[in-house]
Amino acid sequence: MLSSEWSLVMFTILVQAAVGMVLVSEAARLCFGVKAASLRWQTPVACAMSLVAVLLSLTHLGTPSHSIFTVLNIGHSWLSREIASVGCFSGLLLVLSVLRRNNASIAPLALVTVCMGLVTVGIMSKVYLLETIPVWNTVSTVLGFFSTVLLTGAVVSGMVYSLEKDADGMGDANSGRLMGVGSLAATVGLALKFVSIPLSMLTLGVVGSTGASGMDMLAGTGVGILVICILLVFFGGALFAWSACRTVFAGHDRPLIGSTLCALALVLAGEVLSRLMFYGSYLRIGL
Amino acid sequence: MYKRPAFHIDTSRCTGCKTCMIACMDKHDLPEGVLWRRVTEYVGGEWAARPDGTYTQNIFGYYLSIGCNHCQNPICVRSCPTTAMHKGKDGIVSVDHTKCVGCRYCEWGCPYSAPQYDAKLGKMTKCDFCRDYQQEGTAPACVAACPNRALDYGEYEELAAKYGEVNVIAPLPDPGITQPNLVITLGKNAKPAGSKAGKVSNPEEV
Amino acid sequence: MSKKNPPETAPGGEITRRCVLKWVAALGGLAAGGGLFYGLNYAVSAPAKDGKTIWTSCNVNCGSRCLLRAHVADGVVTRIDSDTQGDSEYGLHEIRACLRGRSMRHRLYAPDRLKYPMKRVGARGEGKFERISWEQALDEISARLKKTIADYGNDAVYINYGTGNLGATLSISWPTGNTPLARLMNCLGGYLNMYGTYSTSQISQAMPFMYGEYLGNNALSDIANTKLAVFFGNNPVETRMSGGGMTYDLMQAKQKGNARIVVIDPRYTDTAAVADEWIPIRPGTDAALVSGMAYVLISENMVDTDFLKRCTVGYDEDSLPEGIPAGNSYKAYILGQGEDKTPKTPRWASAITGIPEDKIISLAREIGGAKPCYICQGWASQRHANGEQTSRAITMMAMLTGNMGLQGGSTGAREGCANLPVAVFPFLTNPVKKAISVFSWTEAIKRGAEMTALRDGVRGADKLDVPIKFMWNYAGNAIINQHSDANETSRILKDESLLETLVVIDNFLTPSAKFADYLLPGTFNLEEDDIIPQGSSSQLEYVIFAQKAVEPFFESRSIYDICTGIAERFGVQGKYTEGRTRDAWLRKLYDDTRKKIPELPATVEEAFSMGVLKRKAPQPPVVPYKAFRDNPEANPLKTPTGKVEIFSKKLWDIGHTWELPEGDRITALPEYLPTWEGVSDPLRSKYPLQLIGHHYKQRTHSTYGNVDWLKKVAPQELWINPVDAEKRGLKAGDTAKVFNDRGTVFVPVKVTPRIMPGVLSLPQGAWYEPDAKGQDHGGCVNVLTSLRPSPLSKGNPQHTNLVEVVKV
Repeated sequence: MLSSEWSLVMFTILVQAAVGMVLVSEAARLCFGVKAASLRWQTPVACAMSLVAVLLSLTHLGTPSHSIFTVLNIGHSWLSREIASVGCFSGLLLVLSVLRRNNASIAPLALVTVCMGLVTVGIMSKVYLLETIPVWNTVSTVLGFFSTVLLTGAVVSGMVYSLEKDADGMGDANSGRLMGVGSLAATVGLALKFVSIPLSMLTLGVVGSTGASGMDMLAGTGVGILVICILLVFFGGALFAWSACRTVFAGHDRPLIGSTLCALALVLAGEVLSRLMFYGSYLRIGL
Repeated sequence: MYKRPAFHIDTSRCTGCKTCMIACMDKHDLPEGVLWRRVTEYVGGEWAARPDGTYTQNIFGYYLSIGCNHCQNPICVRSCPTTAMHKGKDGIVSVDHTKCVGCRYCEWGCPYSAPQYDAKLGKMTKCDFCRDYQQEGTAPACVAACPNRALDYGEYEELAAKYGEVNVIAPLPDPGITQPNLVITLGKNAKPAGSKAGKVSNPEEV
Repeated sequence: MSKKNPPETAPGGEITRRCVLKWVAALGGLAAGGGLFYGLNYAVSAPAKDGKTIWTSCNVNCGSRCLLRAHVADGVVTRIDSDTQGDSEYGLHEIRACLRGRSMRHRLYAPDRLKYPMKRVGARGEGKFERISWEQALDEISARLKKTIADYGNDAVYINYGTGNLGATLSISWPTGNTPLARLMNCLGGYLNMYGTYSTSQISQAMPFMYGEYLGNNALSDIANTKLAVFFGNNPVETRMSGGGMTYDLMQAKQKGNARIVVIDPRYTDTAAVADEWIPIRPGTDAALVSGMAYVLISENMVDTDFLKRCTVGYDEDSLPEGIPAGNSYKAYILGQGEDKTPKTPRWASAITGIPEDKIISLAREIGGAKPCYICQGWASQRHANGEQTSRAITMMAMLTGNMGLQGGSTGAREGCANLPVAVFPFLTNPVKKAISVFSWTEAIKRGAEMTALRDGVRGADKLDVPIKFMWNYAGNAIINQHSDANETSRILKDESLLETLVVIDNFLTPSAKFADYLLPGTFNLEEDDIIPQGSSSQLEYVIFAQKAVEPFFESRSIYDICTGIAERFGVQGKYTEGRTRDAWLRKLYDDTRKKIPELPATVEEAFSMGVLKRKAPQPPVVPYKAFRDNPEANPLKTPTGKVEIFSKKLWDIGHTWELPEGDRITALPEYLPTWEGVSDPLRSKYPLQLIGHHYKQRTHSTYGNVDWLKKVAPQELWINPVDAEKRGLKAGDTAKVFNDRGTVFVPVKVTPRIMPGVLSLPQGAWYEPDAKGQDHGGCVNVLTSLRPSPLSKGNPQHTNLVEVVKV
């Protein structure tokens, strides 16, 4: 039924990854002493991702020309709130990116941006926690979104950092610390995935009015695919962590692009697949 | 003008003939795939083969005709990001096409399938209680069309006084979610809300 | 079924004028030299503001007849309503159209509407035509008709069965003998007659042997006055769907009375869903059930011996006619004292019908104990290879219990109904007296000169002298779509050395129309005035006056005008028209109708604005055969004995003289007869599943089969029980291949417990769509049905089939 799956899959993953990037890079900057100069690409890329996400989300609308009206119902509608908060988050990222042209830290604004990002993901979860959609109305949805923030956000952040260093052509003593923070975040994210994906398999057993369950909606191959998702994100996460460890312990001054890229590919594949499964398992009670 | 416009469906008389669906489609010129009223077939029961080759069975089935219940707490209205979906002063829940963005979020949430996406229009559409007929004082197309007089309409309080306050039957959802303005007369096969005794067996028709 | 070709823009102007383009579609599957078919635009739905509203009707063969209100603007119908004249009193209630009548706009403007007269190019059945003028069409048809009559005589001309517009008077399409075409042929020397119908072959020909006439029954409204109502193969909720007809009458009767309603049918029909009990039965075995129940009634002394003695013959040995050997009474048959030495115990019946023995016993006792009891049958039970027997057998339930002629009682026939007679378009007299069964025309084309009275059911002569060489087909899609064995029928029709001329008059390019040599566009009923007699209703008598709503589409002509054109070319125009135009005939017939119904207004114009005249039938409902029951000597039936002939001497004689194929029998008693492709046919090892073709709400037979809205709300699907489906890996929505030796059909499945295991149903009437290999993709059940006629009526046994089904 959800023919607009792809645009929403990309929208949610991109926004969540952007939030994760900002979380990881600001944590690295504010808590682990990584210099601003090392993180020049992070905020702009996160901002670009967020804006691309918004543009992509327009493609699932029947009448995109009316999209400005979508913030009119923040009083009642979680979807309206989501759009408003994504907008705010993107806006804050834009401002932050502009203000940081000179490598200024602007910690307070950054902190606000990070908080806005997390609030955005929280609101995003609420959009799907509809009492008429039991397969989605579970903690698994929330965990799934936040785990994407941490895991994909961290891996994308690491990827962007690797590319930045490669483009710079210079080493950076901070590499280890950033990658370390990233792999920490990725690990937590992965752990959340290991909880969220199996939890979602439980709710797939819910049977709707046609006698079809969420599992049937996934054409019966659902369990297999979800296992593949777990494997993909696991290997991606593990590869990322390994790459990070190499950077940290071998004292490299830049991350390994090749393995980071592979890690990203694996993680993205797992994320996209599990998000497709999420949308594909849509099942509403009643008629 | 009703405070709470409501429909009544007598499931002991509804024979699943789909005349209400067609009458609505004709009046509103609905494009392919857009169904403002939908008749669901709910069927259950088992066959048991006996050693002598005969069978016993407890098969049951009934039909349910639902358009929109113009709920008191409509999930579509509270979900709509643009306020396009709104409950008017006349109690009718309808879509403001100057604002609707076609995100289909209302469709995701409504457990009665009332909001229907019109792909050509790029917007949501739905039963509007035949608002124009209301202004003329005549019945909605579906109610006037029903060959077995299984449908009625009017002020919720009056329908409830006439037919009772039952507003749920399998496979309808818990009425507490949206408070539908729906009055149901149960037939002898009626199954209660949440029952897993049967299932909707005509999804391709609705 | 989905459209196969992409959309094509419609022409501008003529029909659509200021209407907004809403729909364009092209014809599927037709290549034509000069005849291109453009799509039509459906007008935007809107009430007529600067337009008008017209009362009209839906005239199809659904058994009902509904009032429609057409909103017309700028020459186009923009909305359809039904009866809105007020619903406060039952007996004068609204004649509300069903889903089909409500979809009339999308049928009137369906894309495959015929525009011009056409002549076949290429081989017959290819569906390739070129446009010709009316002049040329009428000239050539007349020339060919003249030649046929000269070469073979009028017996070689046949008017085939077409019920698409049977609700009309001036444009009536059935009974065949009442049509403007029949009147034409009667002016030209006559034509070969038919007897029976595809609906009622077996019951209509069998009943007169037992009752002296086509047996009537109490109306459904009488169920309000009964204790128990038992429906054998009767499904009024789906076969009489009008809000002015039987489905509503049943609802009213249920509400007013206290009857327990039992439905006996292989399917949990929509009637079963509103009844109190469903008893699934294997198709073709109703007579076995009846026999098993008769055994209980007889052995437990629950029969009405007084009624049986006074009003029937053949129940026991004492009442057998002279010269009949002992052991041939009904009682002997049931108790096993007859020739077959088989007591028809409930256990015996259970093995045949699939109904548990205890249920047969309890139902029999219930029927025996209910005073009165309403027994009725539909036409499903009789549309079988043993249908003549079955239909008579079912009435035995009412005869054994003496329910005939009682209020709230019954005869076991199809329910009766009210009737308001109107004037009939005079069809003159057919000089030809020979007749064949409605189902025999393919035989008559193939080997007509060999057909005899004793073997092939020829009436009016010992044999036919010539085959059918010229066939008219007006408002009918029976010849390929509704007749049996579509592939064989197709082969017979395609042989141009057999049937020489086929003229089809229709609104659409139906599967039958594709076989035409000349294809003429007839007017749609909304494009002409007519007087519309009522359909079946228990308590409502009515007549509709349908006014022309829109102009005839392109070059469409009314059947009367087409026939006048032919009559001119034969020089009998004066005899045919009696100097009247169609409109003049309408006014004359209106005046004739006023003589029967004096309360009608003075002018037909007033009648048109009135739309319908309604009258209440008597309440309580009239009890048929009451006079006979009370005094059978003074009010005899039209049988030789004047009584109900449970044992019919005439049938005894026929059974002993007719030449029947191996396995067929005609018996004097209403016996259960196992048949070819029945429950006990050894062919079940190859084709294990029985196949029936129920009447489906998407269509009225094949009419409305081209309407998109209806296909959406009621798609064509094969009904299959989950047990049978699972064995074959079939799930809801899968496409199945259902087949037997006669053909193959591809169709989606509906996996439902609402049909018995071992039985499939493929709703009849879906349009035949053969591919290059001759395999059907339209879901047409008649690809699988058999041309072998039933023994007595030589009728269509279309529910007697064995098939297998696999997943595609």
